Amino acid sequence: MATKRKPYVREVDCCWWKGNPYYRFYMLREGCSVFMVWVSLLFLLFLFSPSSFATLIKNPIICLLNFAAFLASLLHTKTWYDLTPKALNLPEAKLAAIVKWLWAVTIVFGALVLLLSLF
Amino acid sequence: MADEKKLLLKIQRYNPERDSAPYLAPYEIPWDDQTSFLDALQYLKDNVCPDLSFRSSCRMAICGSCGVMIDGAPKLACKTFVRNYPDGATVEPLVNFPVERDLVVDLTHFLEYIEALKPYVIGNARKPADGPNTQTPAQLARYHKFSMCINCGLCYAACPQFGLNPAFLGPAAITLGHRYNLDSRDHGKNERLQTMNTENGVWSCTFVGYCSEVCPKHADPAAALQQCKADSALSFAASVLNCKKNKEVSHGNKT
Amino acid sequence: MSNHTGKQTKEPVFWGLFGAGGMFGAVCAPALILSLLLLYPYFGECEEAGLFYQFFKTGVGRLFLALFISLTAWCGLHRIAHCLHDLKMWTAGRARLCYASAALITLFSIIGIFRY
Repeated sequence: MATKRKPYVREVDCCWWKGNPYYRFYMLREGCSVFMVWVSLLFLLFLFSPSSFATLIKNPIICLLNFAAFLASLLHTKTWYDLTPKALNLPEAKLAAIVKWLWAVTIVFGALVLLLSLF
Repeated sequence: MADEKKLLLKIQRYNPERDSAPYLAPYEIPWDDQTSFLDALQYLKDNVCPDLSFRSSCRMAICGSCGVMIDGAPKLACKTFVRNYPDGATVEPLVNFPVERDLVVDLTHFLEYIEALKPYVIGNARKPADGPNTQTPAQLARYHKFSMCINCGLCYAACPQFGLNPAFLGPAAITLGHRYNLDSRDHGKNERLQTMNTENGVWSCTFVGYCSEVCPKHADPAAALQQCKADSALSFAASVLNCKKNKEVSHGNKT
Repeated sequence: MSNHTGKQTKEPVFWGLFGAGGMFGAVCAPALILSLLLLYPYFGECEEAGLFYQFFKTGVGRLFLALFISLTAWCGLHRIAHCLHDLKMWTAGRARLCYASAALITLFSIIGIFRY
């Protein structure tokens, strides 16, 4: 007997992430990577020519982009520390301690850099 | 259900013998605080539309049969209560799977992938005469969370990577494989890693994380996937080193 | 039953670089962006620039920055490669293009260490 099955396949289009807040946040998280590459390129310029780097970052549009990059880097740090413990098979208490240490190192490094930049 | 309260459910219907595509049909159901979506579906089948097709069995979130999309989120119909949707809800079959009829999907991919990852103890030569193969609580704790899976498929409906690439082995299957990789009685890890360290294995995962969010048993497939990536990376590094060593050995033999 | 004992991928290499870059970026990026991109015009250019800016005139400082540049590039471009897949864009040669760009940035950052 011929089968009467006719499975209906729902195609996934490129907008699949728009309808679900969880997916939208995922795309925001991944989208931060554009700023990562942006920062990496600017620092590369700094390495080669600090003077042209200095003129470039005074441009108001670049300034705005850099501020966005700063926010993106904060989101990257937050999400990275939220996700890192998942890759480790350790008891909950140890994972919590690791994440605390990561935050401590980040904050100390940040404070040190800021202090040394100002003085 | 003596209560007079009524709620509007939009249910996706599809009859392969008659319809060219699925469509949403509105139904009114009576409900009280204890009505689950599975109760509502059963009410409709008994009283309104006897041809409504859906899967279910245990009614208590242990068999994993009644997964559906409720307002676009993958849920077990038996574990989700109508009282949390006072404005009505849309019920659709699990996404990322082909629809067979109404709320019934074809889970063939999922079942094949579970099989591909060999979720059973491999290479343990113990015999019944050797007595029980004991484990310490710490050894159990390493994989306990990942053994909670009931194969309901909600994580596959939550996984955009499985939607984009149906060849991806997916959350639950890899989690089950990982559960045995972590088992102190098992010796099949290298065999399973051969399957995991492929384009359609763990490396299709981009850690969206929604799988762990929707898992009704908190088996945390997203964590299992990341741990498998780490294991795959380590085994890859080991194989590169071994390859070099073997080359040196064969080179040494020639000279 | 489908065959899943396919060929082993080199993805672990890129994932390792992604992980290293992601971790490095998580710890250092906010502070470096604040200092080098937002505060530099005010504190980095003047005669008595902050100590941190002078750090990048030393070999260790330049090596540190080059490491940061290349690892964040690997991390960012790895994510972009996967993101393009998510958006169903640019199917052919997507990963190759991204990783080649990251390799190029790495090369330039190494040259950059010695160009001052």
